[in-house]
Amino acid sequence: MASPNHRIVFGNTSPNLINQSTNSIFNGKKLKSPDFKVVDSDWTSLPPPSATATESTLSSANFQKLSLRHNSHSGSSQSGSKSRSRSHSRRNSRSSLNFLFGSIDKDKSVGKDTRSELLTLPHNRHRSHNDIFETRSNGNTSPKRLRRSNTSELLDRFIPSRHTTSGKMSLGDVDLKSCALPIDHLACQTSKIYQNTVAEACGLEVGERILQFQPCMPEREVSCTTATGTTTTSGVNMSTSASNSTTNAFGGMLSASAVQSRLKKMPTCPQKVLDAPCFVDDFYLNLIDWSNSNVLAIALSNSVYCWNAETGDIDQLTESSCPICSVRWSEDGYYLSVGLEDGSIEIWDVETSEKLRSMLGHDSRVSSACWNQHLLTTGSRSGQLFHHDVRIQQHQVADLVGHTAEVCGVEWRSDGLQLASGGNDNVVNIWDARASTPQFTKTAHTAAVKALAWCPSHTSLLATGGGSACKKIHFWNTATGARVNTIDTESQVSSLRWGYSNGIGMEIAATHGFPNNDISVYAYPALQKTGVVIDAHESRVLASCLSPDGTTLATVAGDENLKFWKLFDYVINKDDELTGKGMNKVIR
Amino acid sequence: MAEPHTTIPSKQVPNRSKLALKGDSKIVADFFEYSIHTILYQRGIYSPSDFKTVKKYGLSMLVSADDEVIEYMNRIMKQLRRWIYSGMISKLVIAIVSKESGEVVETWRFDLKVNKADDEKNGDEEKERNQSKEDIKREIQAIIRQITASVTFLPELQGGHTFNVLVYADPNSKVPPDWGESEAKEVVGDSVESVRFRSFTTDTHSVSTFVSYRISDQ
Repeated sequence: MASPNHRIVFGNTSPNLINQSTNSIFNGKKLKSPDFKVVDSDWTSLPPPSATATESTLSSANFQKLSLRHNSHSGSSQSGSKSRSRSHSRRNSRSSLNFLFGSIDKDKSVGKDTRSELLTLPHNRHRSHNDIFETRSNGNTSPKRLRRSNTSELLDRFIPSRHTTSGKMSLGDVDLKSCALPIDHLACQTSKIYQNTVAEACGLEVGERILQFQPCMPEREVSCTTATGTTTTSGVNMSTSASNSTTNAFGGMLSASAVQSRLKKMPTCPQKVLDAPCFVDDFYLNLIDWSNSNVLAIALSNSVYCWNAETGDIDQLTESSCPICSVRWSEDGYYLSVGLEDGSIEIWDVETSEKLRSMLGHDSRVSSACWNQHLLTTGSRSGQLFHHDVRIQQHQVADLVGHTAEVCGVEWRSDGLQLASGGNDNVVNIWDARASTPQFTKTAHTAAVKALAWCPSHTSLLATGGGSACKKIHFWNTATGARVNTIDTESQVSSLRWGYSNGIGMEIAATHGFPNNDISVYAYPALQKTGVVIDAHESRVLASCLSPDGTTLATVAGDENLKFWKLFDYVINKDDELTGKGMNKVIR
Repeated sequence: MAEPHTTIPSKQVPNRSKLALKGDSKIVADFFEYSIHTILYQRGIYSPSDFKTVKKYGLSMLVSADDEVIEYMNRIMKQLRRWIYSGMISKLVIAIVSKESGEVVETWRFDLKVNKADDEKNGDEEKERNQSKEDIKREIQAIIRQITASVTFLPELQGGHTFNVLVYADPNSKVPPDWGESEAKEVVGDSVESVRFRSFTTDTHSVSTFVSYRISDQ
């Protein structure tokens, strides 16, 4: 905690340093004076030649008393300047030693009456000691504390006083992690010093950002060739009002009132709890998904159930012969992909409850899947990652090589141009939709990466969360491959979901497993925790999904409960770009 | 513009520099706008028939007459002006991209340096203030002429091309709705050449211009 700077300031008070400084003054010349030697031995707690160890401690007790007295005398002299005290201590070291000895001797003879004896010392000597004692007691605001401090630990008894002198600065040293409780954040915000440090810290962001004007240029017939109709400008204009939120200055702090009102909105108990018996407690599986048509699919052991969020009806869709490892809705919500333990993938039509086709190809369980229109991307335990075109017979259209262990998270970007995958090999791969080798391979995580979430408002922003050995959320710019931000959550991240909250702007919700079964909400890009549901489940939260309107988070945990939390607000946006339907329109 | 001999009371300096900053930002922004139009015309991004002539900087400048292009440019310029004024950007890049291959074939780079008025010493200040509107106009004129003349050595663009406007912004700047993160668009390949044009300086800004292009193999 104490910076080296403090050490220097207080070093003057430490007798060892006094000796050092005297040595340096005499430039290496050995000091032969017996008086100096005594000082040396006294402070290094070797028995002085003429006094025993107990005596030296006694003398230190005298020091204390005396300094105490002088404190009360002079009062304001505590903040003696560095140089002054140093020179004084040097000049007076010799006489102070004499005095020390004198006091020891008197201690011996007089015993308890030392204080009065000391005070009868000649004035000039006494005066010379003041300085030393002042420096030694430097920073002790209360005499009481000084008295209480342990006399046997000569060197340590001033350490607590460092806090009192550097009290203002220590506030600045407090480095609140982004995973600290929102209340702590609020408390800290009141301190201006803290704000300044954060501002400084935020100013340290690396590099420049390159921004491109996103809309395509107006097409005009150019005399030479006709336009082919394909636009080369990448990136669909997805920017929304979400990023325009008033409080959301990039990298800045959130206003305290916004945080407070956000805190009030955080649910303390779930909106609804559903029982999920036989839910497989396996971190690497993806067993729930909520469709755009507002149906939530959950796999319980060998069967898939669909819960209609509007009507509350529950249907059993299928019962297979082997355990189910992943379920995923197509973007339109008509089809459900079911990945099985034996490596096969089934596509189900939900309206008719029919299995449309079964796709083989994986050699081990299919634990993750994601749709991009007709393309289904699946990852398996062995690290295989395949694109399946569900319309054609030779369904496997691409083999993406990039993982060496189980692929537990696969997520397409909303415009279908990039794919992110995370594996148990601690790797995050970002793929171009057309390529079968990774565009970027990120090894920043130190545990399995299951949680992946693309930002709905900034297309090239990806959030990834690491498992129990990593506990971090990394934010990536997938256009450049650069890491933009990091949050240390201090807990395993099992899933990440973006949301929007009035007054705060974009937020990201993370569900946690070991050691805390929490749901936490962070503001982005402020990276401040704006809400938390402590112990949302009795056991680790395994997965989550957002309702199609983006307001309700469904979480499922090892305690076989499916809970619904109202975490976010509607995105107020006339263009309706954030909702799935808007996206489909953009994608064509 | 300014009387170099009268000493300016220190109180008025921030006022003046603020005004100067505003005026200079406008000069820089106008320069960017006309440069982009000139590039669009000279590089044949739009058909020459879509352009009309206006008088600016004592030159006959060609600007687009197409309503959509004007609207598109206005949207860019609106944000650019804000950025230039706040000193948030350090570079403006016009990347000319092939429609077929998506390759960047040519980039026009404008480096923008903001001279902080605060740390100027008095002597510097007077020197800077001497930069009159006429001087700036002449400098800009020279650059525009150079851009126009560059067609002679730049390779002919074959096929359809589009253009992207990129800025290198301060990492803390807010991303406006129309803008998104991008990779640096640079001309890649073995035979890339860069030409540096003249630069111009106002009291608060200095702008230097570069063009990078690929030399055709023939």
